Amino acid sequence: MYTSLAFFLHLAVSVLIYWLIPRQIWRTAFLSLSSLVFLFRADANSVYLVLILTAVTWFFGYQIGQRTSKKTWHRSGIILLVLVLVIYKYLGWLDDILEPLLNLFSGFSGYHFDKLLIPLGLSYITFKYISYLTDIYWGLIKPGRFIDFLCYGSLFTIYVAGPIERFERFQPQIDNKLIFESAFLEAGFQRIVFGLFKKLVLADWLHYFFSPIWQNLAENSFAMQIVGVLAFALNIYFDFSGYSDIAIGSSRLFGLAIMENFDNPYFAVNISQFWRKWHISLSDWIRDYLFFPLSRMSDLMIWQLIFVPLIAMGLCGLWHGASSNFVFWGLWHGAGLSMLQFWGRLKRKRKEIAYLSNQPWFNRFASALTFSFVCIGWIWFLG
Amino acid sequence: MKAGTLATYPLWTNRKNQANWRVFLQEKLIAFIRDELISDPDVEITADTPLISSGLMDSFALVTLQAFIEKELGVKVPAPRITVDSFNTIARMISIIDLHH
Repeated sequence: MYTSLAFFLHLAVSVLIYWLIPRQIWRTAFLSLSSLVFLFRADANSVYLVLILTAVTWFFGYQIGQRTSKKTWHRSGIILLVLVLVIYKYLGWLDDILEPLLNLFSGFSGYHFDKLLIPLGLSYITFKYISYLTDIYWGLIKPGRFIDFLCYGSLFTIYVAGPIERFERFQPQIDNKLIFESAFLEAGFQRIVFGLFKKLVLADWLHYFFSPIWQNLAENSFAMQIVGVLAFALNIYFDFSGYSDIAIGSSRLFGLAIMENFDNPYFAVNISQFWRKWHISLSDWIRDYLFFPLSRMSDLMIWQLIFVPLIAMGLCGLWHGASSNFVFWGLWHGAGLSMLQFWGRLKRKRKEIAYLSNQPWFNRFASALTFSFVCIGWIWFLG
Repeated sequence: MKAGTLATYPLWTNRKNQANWRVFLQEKLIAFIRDELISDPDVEITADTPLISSGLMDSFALVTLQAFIEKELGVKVPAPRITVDSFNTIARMISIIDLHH
C-alpha cells in the first residue's frame, strides 16, 4: 500500500494543501480528513472503526482525566479495546481451537463464530489507544483535544504498519503552529527514497529469488534451509524497516517527527537488546504496558524469570496474527529472554562467568549467537 | 508509609535539605544496585557511571529497580519513564525520581 502510486499522489496533494493552510488547528483537521479519505479508499470498514474507537476512547480518556473513578474508567476502556481486538481478530481462530472442546459438551455443539473481516490497522490503533488511556491513568499526559486525538489515531502515513507512536510525543508537535521548513521536505523525501530502496529493491528481490525456498523449507536440503532462513531474515528486516522508513519520511513531510522503529537489530549482543532495536515502538509498548505491570504482580522468582517473559512475548506473537505459529514465535523469544535473565543471575553469582563475558571476543560470539537464535525464531514465524 | 522511606524523609523542603535528600537517594540506589543488580560488585559506582550501556546492569534490572523505588523510597515512577536511556546512570535516575516525587 505504501509503495503504490495512489499513496504517493494522495501524499503529495495532502502535503501541498497542508502547508497552504494558515492555522495549525485547521491543518490538523485537514490531516485527519485526508487520512480518513485515504483509509476509506483502502478499506471503508476501517473508517467506521477509526471514528467509533476514537470517539469512545477519547470519551474514556476524558473521564479518566476527571480524577473520579479513574481506575474503573481505565479498566473499562482497556477491556473494551481488547474486546474489539479479540472479536475481530481472534474469535475465529479461538473457535478453531475450542471447537473440539465445545463439541464434547452436547449443549454447545453446533455453536461457532464466523471469522470476521479484520479492519485495516486494527492491531495498531488498539495498541495506540491502550497506551493513550494508560498514560492518562498514570498521570503522564492529560486528555487531548478531540481533533488532535483523531489525527493521532488516523494519521494515514503510520496507520497501517506503525510505528506505534505515543500521544505524549505526538500531541506537542501539532499543538503549536509548525513553521514550514524546506528541511522537512528534504529529510522526508530522502527517508522515503531510502525506504523504497529497502522495500522494492532489497526485500522484493530477496523475495523473488529465495521465497520458493523459505515457503517450502521442509522440501529442501539442510544447507538450502539455512540459506532460505537467512534470506527470510534479511527480507523481513528490509521489508518492514523499509515500510517504517516510508512512514517516518512521509510524516516528516508534514513536519512530524515519528519515533524510530529499527536500529540495526541483527547486531544486537543479546535477545533483550535485539528487542530494543527491532520494531522498537512495539517492543517499547510490550515493555511498558505488559512486561512491567506483569512483573509487579508477584515477587516470585519463577514468575519474574519464566512466566512474565513467556506471557508478554507470547502475547506479542499473537498480536502479529491469529495463528499458533506466531504464538510459538513469541514464546521462543520469551524463552530467550528468560534464559538471558538466568544468565545475568549466573554472572552475578559466578565471577569466572562475569570475567568470561567481559572478554573482547565475547560480544562477537554473543552477537552471532543472538542472530542465530533470532533466525531459528523466524522458522516459527514462517509457519 | 514505611519508616525510613523517601516519603518519610523528614526535611527536604528547603534547598539545603534537597541536597541532603539527593545524597540520601544516591546512597540508597548505589547500595541496592551494587548488592542486587550489577554483574561486578567490585566496580566503583558514581552518580555518572553508565550502568546499562556499559553492560554492568541488564535492562531486566529496571523492573526490579521500579519495585525498589516504589517500595523502599515510596515513589511511583510509571514504566514509560524507566528506559535504558533515562535510567542509565544514578544521576538520571535521581532526576526522574525527583519529577515523580
